[in-house]
Amino acid sequence: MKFLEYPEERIYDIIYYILFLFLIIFILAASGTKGFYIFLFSAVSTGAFLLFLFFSFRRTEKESERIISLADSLEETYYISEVLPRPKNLQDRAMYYALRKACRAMNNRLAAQEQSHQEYQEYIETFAHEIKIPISALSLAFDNENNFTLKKETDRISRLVEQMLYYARSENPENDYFIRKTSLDEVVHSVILKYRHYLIEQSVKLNIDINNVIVYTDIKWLTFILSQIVQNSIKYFDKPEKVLSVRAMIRSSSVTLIIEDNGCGIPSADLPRIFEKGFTGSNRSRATATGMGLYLARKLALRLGLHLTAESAEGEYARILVSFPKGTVHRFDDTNL
Amino acid sequence: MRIVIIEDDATTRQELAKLLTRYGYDTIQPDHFEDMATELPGLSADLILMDITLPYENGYDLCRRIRDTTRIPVIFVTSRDTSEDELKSIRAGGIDFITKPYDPLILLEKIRRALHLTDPESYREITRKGCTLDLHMSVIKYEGKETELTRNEFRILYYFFMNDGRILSKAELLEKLWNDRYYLDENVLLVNMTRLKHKLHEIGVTHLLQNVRGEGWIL
Repeated sequence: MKFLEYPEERIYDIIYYILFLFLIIFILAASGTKGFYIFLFSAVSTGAFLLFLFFSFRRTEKESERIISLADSLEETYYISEVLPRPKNLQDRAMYYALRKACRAMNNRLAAQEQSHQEYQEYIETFAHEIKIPISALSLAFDNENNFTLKKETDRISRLVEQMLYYARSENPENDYFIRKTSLDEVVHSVILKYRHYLIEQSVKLNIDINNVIVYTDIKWLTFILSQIVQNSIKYFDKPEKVLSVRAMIRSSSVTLIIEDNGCGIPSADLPRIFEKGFTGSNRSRATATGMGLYLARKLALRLGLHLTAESAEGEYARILVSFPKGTVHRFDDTNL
Repeated sequence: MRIVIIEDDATTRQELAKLLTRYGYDTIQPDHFEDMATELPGLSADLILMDITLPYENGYDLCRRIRDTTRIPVIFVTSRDTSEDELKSIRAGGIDFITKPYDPLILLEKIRRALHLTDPESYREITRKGCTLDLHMSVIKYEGKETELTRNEFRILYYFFMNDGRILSKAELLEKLWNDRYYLDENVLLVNMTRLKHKLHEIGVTHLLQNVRGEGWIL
């Protein structure tokens, strides 16, 4: 607030003062007081009034600055009414009342929303667990009958359910992860085993070079992230000679896991967008893409403190880099001392 | 080896039993769960596959109760996959945890591990049908002659030595190889089989690795 704006706010006080001053001057003049004394009185009185105006401006200014900085410092602004000082004047009190009421209504609504969100999420978890029972029965039955066509369809249902489950989990502020010492080699191996039918069927040549790299992370989440990446590689192979390579690059401050395929690659215009939700590529030749896989992978990776980046040359290769920053990384040769 | 399948979904139970029978295990499949805790120790089983959501009593409690009377190892088989469930299963005394829908390869591997049936790496050599496979040197010996094998050839022959009398199909061999991190494709496997047979012929072995039409090979 500017000092010059302030008189505008106090315009009634000022008008009242001026009228009052004129009245007094008039009375003094009528009662025959000397011009000098009338002038002296007016000067002193106006000076005092201006001083009063200035200090009351300073006070108001300070008070409002305090409230503004209070509001700015709060992370959840809708709690502002709880921390505001109780105002003394009538109009401010009415404002205060209105604000409190609005905040309370908003908080109630938020709580109800959170409650229903949580219930929904719990339902999703239960649903996923329940539906896995028949999926698992089907999957076993098709395995026993060596019916690979239907087994694959069942696998697909299972992957979609899993994706939904992780989507629900990624929205949950409470994390269901469990950080522990993890052998990168083991996780990669389990992901490859998971997709072995597809890899063997397509005669994919695998180059795995990881060597005892240890990281500290959640195995399930990392498995899910790597699964999404490998799934994508399998989907976009387009050459007769298919190669998937997974290697770990160790630097002093990080370990980077590089998953590279020699599939159709990603057009450079699409590259910045592949981690976006629902992005399925400008070239929509794959009807089955949901645009959720890499989005979820990146989202979960962020929660685990990992960085996901992509590099590609269209028609030649696509490369996804998962980097584990220092602190989540550990090497065998450090512990074997 | 006898495995008890405690699972309340009948289809899953039957299919699981079918799978395990195919891999040479005996199975018991109880279908009533009222006094499971008293019945279980009397079944003289080697392993229990335990579901978690059961009528009457959940798998964790059941496992905890039978722990007092028996040391039969328990593998939890469940559709719930949260970290909390995994922790609970460890606390209840389970030795392993596998989530539905399970991959038969991984389930069988976990069962083998639980039963301590993992490949006997401590052996120095295995002899079958007059041929000796040296596990340390990757060499096959027959009547005083021997030949060296490559990594892949050795692995393949090793599976046949470990599964004497059974037909191994192309698919099963590939699964075994992949499980042990030999990520070969079908063509490479066939090339290796041919080379392996050729090497065996060179030292006079003609009675190993018989082709069973449409099914695979037998040692």
